[in-house]
Amino acid sequence: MFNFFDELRKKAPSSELLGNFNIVNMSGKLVYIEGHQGVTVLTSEMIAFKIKKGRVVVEGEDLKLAELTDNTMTINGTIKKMEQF
Amino acid sequence: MKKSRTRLRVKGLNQERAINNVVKNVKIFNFSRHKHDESDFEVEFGKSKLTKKLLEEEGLNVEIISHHGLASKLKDGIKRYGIIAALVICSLFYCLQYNFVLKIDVFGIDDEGQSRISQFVDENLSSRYKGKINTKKLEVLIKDNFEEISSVSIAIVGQSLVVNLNEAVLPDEMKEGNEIISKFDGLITDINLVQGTLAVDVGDIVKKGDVLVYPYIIDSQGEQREVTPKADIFADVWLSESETFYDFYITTERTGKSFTMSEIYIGKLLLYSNSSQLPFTQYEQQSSIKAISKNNIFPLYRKKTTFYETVTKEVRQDFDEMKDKIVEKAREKTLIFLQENEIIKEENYTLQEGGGIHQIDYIITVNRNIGG
Repeated sequence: MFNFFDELRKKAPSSELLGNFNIVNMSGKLVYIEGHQGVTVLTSEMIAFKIKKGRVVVEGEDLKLAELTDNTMTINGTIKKMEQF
Repeated sequence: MKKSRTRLRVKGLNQERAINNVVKNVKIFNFSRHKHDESDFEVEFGKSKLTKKLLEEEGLNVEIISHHGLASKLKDGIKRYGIIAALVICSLFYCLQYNFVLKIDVFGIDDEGQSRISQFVDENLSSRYKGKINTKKLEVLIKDNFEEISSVSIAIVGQSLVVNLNEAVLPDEMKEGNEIISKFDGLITDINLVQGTLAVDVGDIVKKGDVLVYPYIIDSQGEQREVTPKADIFADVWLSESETFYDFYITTERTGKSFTMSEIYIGKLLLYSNSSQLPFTQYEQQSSIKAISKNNIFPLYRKKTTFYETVTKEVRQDFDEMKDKIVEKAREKTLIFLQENEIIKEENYTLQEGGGIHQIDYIITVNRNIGG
């Protein structure tokens, strides 16, 4: 079965890319995150979550968590900025 | 098909930590935050209770806003229409069972008769279905099988079969009864027969237990018919008692002298006794035991025995001097057997003598009703 991230990993230059977190931004309207380790901020302007070695902040307008599981999430809204710390 | 989900509203601070705990077990959809302390989201319909519980454990206030999807609609339907369905089923059941007789009520007769009639009706009901019960046929059946019933009417009231009865009042000559038995020994002097067939005649001597009147009559067709016998049968009844007199007899009397002996026991073991040689050769003795201490460890008793000296005397008496008194005593003993306000017809006594013994038999003759 085709897996988008598995296909990407095959083309990865180093093994550092393996086993961490993955984020896909689709046209600035939808963000899919895989491998998060818990939400830290949840507002309509900002959603922040922990990753293995740090933290990711998604900023925008009318942000909504379309789906949240223990290691994946889908964010809807107008994505303006994504930062990793 | 849209999946069944439940929309929840959560109020409280530090919701992120609670959400992180919830997502370990439950998938969250369409999370949106309106205020800093209020947010809405959806979970799978089947996980709504678990989610609510987990969030409440985190100290958040949780409110279920709505359910949507097939499963929730199905559950709502069961809740909403279940009562209506139950009512419909109950109504149907009631309508169905209303067509059947559930109990039989019998009126107009004693308790024993009620149970007999009720059992009879129950056994003769072809069906409990109201439409199949023939009340006229039942009425005829009851009339034919119970002679003591003069009229009967049966009606179906609600789910009861009501049986109204009237007991027949039989004339006395139709009632059955037992024969009249003589209560005393005697000579029949007068008979007044009301009903029945006589077994005795004036001048007959009867004994207690003899049959006086039989419980039947022979009618004009020559047939025997059972009746309750009634008759006043008078007879001379002899009441008798005896008194015996002895010319010579021996009697024992106390002289008035006595001697007392005391003994003390522990249980059955004799501890002390003041017994000495008895000063009497002929005596009566009387003993009493009294507990000094009432316990099982040290049970002390005192036994007190008193000896009374007696002397034997020979008594000789003259019958002729005592005769009147003895006759009177015998009479008094006989009078005990008289009934209230009974008139003595005749009284006499007989005397039998021999060997220094005189026996007086006192006889009182009365005329009393020995039957009836």
